[in-house]
Amino acid sequence: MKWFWCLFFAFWPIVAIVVCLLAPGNNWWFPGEAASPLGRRIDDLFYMILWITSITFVGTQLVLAYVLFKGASDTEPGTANEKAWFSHGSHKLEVIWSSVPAVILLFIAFYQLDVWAEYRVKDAFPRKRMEAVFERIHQDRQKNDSLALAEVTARQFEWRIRYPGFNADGTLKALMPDPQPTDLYAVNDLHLPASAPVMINLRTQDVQHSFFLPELRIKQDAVPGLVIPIWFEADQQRSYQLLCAELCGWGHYKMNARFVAESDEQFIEYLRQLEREQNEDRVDDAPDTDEEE
Amino acid sequence: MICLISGCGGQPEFSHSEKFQTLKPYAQIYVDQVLDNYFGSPSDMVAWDKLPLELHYGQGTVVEASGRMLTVELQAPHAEITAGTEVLWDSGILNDKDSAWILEWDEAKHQAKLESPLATNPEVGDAVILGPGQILATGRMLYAEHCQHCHGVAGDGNGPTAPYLNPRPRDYRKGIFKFTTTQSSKRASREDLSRIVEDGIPGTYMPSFKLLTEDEMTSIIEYVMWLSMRGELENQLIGLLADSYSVEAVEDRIAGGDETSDTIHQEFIDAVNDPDSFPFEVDTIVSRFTSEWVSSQEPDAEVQPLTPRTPSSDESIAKGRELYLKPSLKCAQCHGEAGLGDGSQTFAVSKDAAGQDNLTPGLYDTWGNLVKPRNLHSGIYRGGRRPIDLYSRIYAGIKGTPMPAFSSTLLRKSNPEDSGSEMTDEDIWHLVNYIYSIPFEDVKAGQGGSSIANPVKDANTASEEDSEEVAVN
Amino acid sequence: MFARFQLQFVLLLTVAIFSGCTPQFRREKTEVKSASDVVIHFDDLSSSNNSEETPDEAATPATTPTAGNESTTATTPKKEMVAATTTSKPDVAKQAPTTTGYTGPAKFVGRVVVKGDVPLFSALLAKGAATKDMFCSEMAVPNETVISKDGGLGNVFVYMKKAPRKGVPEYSGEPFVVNQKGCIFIPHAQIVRVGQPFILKNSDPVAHNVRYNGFASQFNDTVVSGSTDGLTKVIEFPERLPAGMVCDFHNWMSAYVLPVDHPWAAVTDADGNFEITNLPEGKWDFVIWHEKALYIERSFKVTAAPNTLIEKVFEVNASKLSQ
Repeated sequence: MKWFWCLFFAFWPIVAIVVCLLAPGNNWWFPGEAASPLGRRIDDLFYMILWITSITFVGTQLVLAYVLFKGASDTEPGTANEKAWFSHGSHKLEVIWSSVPAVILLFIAFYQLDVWAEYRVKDAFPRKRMEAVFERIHQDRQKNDSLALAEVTARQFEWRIRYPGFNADGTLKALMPDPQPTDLYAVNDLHLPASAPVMINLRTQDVQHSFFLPELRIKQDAVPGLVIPIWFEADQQRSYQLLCAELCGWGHYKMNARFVAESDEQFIEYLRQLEREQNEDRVDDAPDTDEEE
Repeated sequence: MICLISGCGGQPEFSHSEKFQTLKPYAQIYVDQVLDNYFGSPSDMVAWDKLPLELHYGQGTVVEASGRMLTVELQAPHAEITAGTEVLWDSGILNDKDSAWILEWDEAKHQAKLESPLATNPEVGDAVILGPGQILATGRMLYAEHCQHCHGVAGDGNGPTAPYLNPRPRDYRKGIFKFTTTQSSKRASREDLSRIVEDGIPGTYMPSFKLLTEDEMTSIIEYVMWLSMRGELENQLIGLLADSYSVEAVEDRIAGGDETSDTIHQEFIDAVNDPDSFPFEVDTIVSRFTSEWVSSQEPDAEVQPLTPRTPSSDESIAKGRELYLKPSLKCAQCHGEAGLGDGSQTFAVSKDAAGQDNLTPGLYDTWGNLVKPRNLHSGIYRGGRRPIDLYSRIYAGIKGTPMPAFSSTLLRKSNPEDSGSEMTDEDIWHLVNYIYSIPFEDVKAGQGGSSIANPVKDANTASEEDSEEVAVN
Repeated sequence: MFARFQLQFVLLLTVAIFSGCTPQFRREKTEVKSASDVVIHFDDLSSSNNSEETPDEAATPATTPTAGNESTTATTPKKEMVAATTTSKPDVAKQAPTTTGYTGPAKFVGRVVVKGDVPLFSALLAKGAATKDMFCSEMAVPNETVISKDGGLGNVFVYMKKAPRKGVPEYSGEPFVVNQKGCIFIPHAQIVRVGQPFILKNSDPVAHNVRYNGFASQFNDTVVSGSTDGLTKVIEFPERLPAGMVCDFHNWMSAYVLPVDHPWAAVTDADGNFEITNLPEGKWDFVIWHEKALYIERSFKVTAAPNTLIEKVFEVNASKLSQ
């Protein structure tokens, strides 16, 4: 019977180890490959931590198996039949197994610092590259204007998006913190340039929501009363999922939207199209009057 | 476990309208029977040819048929036809025979390879229906997924989440939809309905369903219209029967003299079986709303501005404000002189449909809900923010609400002196420009200041300018 | 351990299946059939529902004798009064008497009178009352329950319930006008033919809107103040009951319009008299309805033949008007 239990308890660690080793190669837990440079770095961090935990896990399981079988074979008839002994702890061991994890945690903490900073600390945002985007899409901006290209407002149960409008000379205005008469509006359909860092301002109208771009590994809570800047960079020009990752009410599942990363020209064309739709007055023969103010 | 055992069992059923219970039991059975015959139940629907809806994937005629190959000519446009689509023979020798099923579909040639060879070949020109009722069936699945928990199984605006919502979800059964771009006497166009589904209604709980595909959108819209027609038939039929066969009416009639419960019952049964009586009435009701829905889809049902939008300018905005405060338009009486939605009518006691005073002062819509005139400072435009949306709200009103159509009031001769001059809708555009400007009354474009207007200041200015207009109600 | 989990799972599944808790929406079950040739038969109801009818019948005769005495109705407590009004005519035959010696097409004339003490109806808006549009109260807005000195009830709709299938005369096309003057709809009660041009006017210096709230159709339009041309609407569908019209700017303003698809309808004048002429031969149901009293008659049977004059006085209990 005791051998059954030995095998039984040895079996599960083996299954766990096999799963643990197979999983990363199969992308079981990720919604596809990371589709942004930051996403890949976040994935790298994840795998690094996975390596550390896997090694620790395999090590402890080996020790566990050794102790199990050693103890079982010691009680076999004909062996020395040692009696179990009780230890009252070892100071040296305590120090080792406290300080080793502490060192590992410290290492992780320092190792991820720059990723975190780049993602979350405003001063570390890739400002230069963002400004290059503004240059390319001809945004008419002052030095202190917001870096954001759109304001995403979560509400029960949809994402409302506000883009800046165009100047009369064809340049794009800068996004203002408050709505402007020229602003362009969309819902559940976020379009932004691809292959460059772009920033949005996230807010919520009602309860807490969470802006989640699983393929880009971006997740940020929208907190009532706060305007939270988020930047991301999509590698490919395609459409990505945009979900709410905070159980925000009975219609949480409805907050399913689309993030479309496209070329600069397409982005401007999209805004132009929004402008046309938004100025629709059903009088066809007057294309000149589309301009607002 | 408890939920599994108790809560979710059973098939969904169409609920009855509130007045259903006032009918005598035999009249209730008749209403149920009529609805069941023409509309069925949620799990066993009837695609009634008479309704002006796109119910099938496609309809057409046989061009060539032999063995497993079938070529048809379809009336454009049709939905995507996939493998496993049913082919229903609608006329000819195969009429009423078993349907065929499509194995492969060639869209370019409109040619189908059937799952099994035909025993008898239909003749050229025989009518076929591809995917009979499938649009409706898809619509119901999508409706159940996205809409039902607020709008209810029967489209009565009384789903499980509805009691927690303000404003209440729309009850389709009157056939009235609020935010349309059709003339005041018309119903909603399909385009109006799909725009609301696509963009949602900001300021309410109606979210946007932007990610629906075109076919899914069609299915949902057709299903919503189908529910609306079903509800309208139910309501109108109950109204018709309640005149003579409600519990109260029957009591009245018995008390009136020479009628007894039995003679009334017999009269009812005779009326049901007399094709000139109730069946004719049902037909009249259906023909009426059918023709209304059809005519609302016509291009001339749309609100069509006469002139392009007047470019927004300080002058235009000032003219708009002047119109807004004009006693001959009375915008301010509901929306308030400062546009805060707090006009004097929101404090006045109005009458309900039966002519009784409403308990809470304010304005009520056709559904009996207390409605608030829009606060024009919020910058939230429920029916859409396009100029045509605002224009339609003013021109054709908001259906089912106290917001009237101003088409006759605001259209005027371009030259007041000359009665032969053309009509102009400039005044509507001035008002539209003014309404657009209200949220920015103390913010200039390009400035990032606070957008919260100063209502006290606005209200004071307004009342100073037009002191005789101050409400005394 | 495993076995226990398995057992729980199987148990759960069994309970779920047997309790009928299958998924609520099954695509394959959504059978859609064409209903173009549906025939509804309805002769099996008489047997199934007769038993439910007996209590009603038993209850009715019990109330009738107590309510027969009409002279006391106005002073009796309210609960009994309701019964009295609904049962006040058992002695009068439902079939109207016809007068001999009349020549010409069949004619239905009559009068609606109020029985009992007529309550005092105060003006809807007293003269000089403070209101948002002061000119509205330059003249008092009278109460809309119009009762003449000798008890005739005005603004009562008398109309044929259902038009005959054949022989309905075409409408001449003459338009009908509703004016809004002094914040009053003039006239207050009106019959309109379906398809008749229906001109809304506004003689007041302020905006009025007309919200027509019919059962079959609705509209809500503003009317230009001081307009001479007015706004022309056409009501395309008949109603079974008069439809209310209100002005949302002035809450006391209301009117009733009955669109009908035949000419045999009338509104009583201020003395309560009405006259419907040129009745076609046959047996017709008439509805008599007033905005406060509601149904005075649900289906009053009139047998019309050439050279018949049908005369009838309808009585309304005063208590019904004050509701």
